[in-house]
Amino acid sequence: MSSKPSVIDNQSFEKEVLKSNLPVAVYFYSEDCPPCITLSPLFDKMAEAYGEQMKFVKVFRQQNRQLAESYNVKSSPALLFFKDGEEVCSRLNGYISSPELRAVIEGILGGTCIRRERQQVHCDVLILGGGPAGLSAAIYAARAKLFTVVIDEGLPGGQVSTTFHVANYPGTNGVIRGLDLMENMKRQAVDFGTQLDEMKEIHEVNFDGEEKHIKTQDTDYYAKCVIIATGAQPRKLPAEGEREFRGRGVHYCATCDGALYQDTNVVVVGGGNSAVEEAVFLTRYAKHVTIIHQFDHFQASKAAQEEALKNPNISVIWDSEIRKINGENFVTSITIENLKTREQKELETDGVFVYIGMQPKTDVFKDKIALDEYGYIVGDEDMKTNVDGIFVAGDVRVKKIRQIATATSDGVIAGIMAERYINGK
Amino acid sequence: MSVKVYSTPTCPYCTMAKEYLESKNVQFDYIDVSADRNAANEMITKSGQRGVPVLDINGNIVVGFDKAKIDSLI
Repeated sequence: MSSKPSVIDNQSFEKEVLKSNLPVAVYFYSEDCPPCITLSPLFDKMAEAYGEQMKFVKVFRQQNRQLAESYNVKSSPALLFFKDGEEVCSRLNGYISSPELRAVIEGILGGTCIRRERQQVHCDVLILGGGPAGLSAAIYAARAKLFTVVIDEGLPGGQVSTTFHVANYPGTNGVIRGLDLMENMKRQAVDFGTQLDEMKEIHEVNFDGEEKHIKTQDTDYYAKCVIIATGAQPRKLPAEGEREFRGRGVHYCATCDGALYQDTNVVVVGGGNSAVEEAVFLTRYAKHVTIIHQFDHFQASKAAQEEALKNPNISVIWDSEIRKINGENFVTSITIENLKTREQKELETDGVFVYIGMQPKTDVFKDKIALDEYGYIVGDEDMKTNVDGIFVAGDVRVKKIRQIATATSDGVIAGIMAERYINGK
Repeated sequence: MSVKVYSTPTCPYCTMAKEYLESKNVQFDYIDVSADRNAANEMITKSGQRGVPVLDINGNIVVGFDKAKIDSLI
């Protein structure tokens, strides 16, 4: 039995791995991947020590993309273990330590390792949130040769992905689709070596000590440094029946669902830019749009206001809030209250589109890090929080202007400061 | 396998769903409910709601671009 790992490819995979009589450790590697540089000598050492009982093979991931993808391997290094043609045990990713690798190998040889659900990832920089702030931080951190992982509770892209056209991001043609802009950022981050893990909802964080630990449903992440870029989400309408009628008359995305309201009467709640602009958008489909706002004037820009107010199919009810959503299967009316007179009345409508601002996604960080009274994370101009090794970037940070450009700017600073933090240790 | 995607032209999640299915080489009908009133009603009846996208994968209804659910059905 050779004691050196052999390099295999697509063609020899079946023979060397699936049809092997011995259990097999398969190491997917890439060039220029810092944790691979650490792992390779370790893998060779294990091959020498355990080569009699186990086969060790290496697959160059970039030249065998199809093979890697068929096993859902999206990053390097990834260690997979096979026995009798089937994958066994848990995979190892990121910085893998010698005891960790030894434990898995001995588990397989001893027959005690059954498939463990939880995965472990060790990295330099862990970025929470894959919007413009998180991805910009990733571009800088990954370019600085730090092993960088971005996790997102949904799909990377953040709020921008749900914006139809982005008009004001410098360097674009002014009509770029939000989706395309974020796809570009994503690709840029990945090309520099970032690992992107989607659909990872954060369950618990532990920021104490040198190594930070972040738990998701199926993975434990350990990082030297964390950048929080979880962003914000639309604030839900605080009215009775909101949850019940969500999707059935209560909506938060006019560009998505507006088209389902052809020739109907709809309501837009709010008075900022989004509310007023989306009201104008909805007149493409709806017969009439009523804006309901809690004050007697809009906060939206002059230009946006003028466009809405001159539109004959838009009217405004000032000083009022929605108290209740009424209907059976779908919304048929709402109960609104005039905040000055306290008078309540019912208004017939087919749909309610809500644009009443944002709320930060920081529930999981409560008591772990300093937040302001609205739940935003406090960071200084270097994006440092009150906890050593934890940085913040983007909409989730306490600041006045929340734009794509200010999010990317935060991200760049956080990425550079993270590098200095790690290299200064 | 029969897959239908009910969508509107300006909806970003619809585009994501479409591009995702394409990346998985799944054939599907892409239905613009803003242009087809009957299809819109069909979608509302099937899914009991008015949000897009709605995917009908062999009679299983998925509301929104729910990747995990789509993966389990294709």
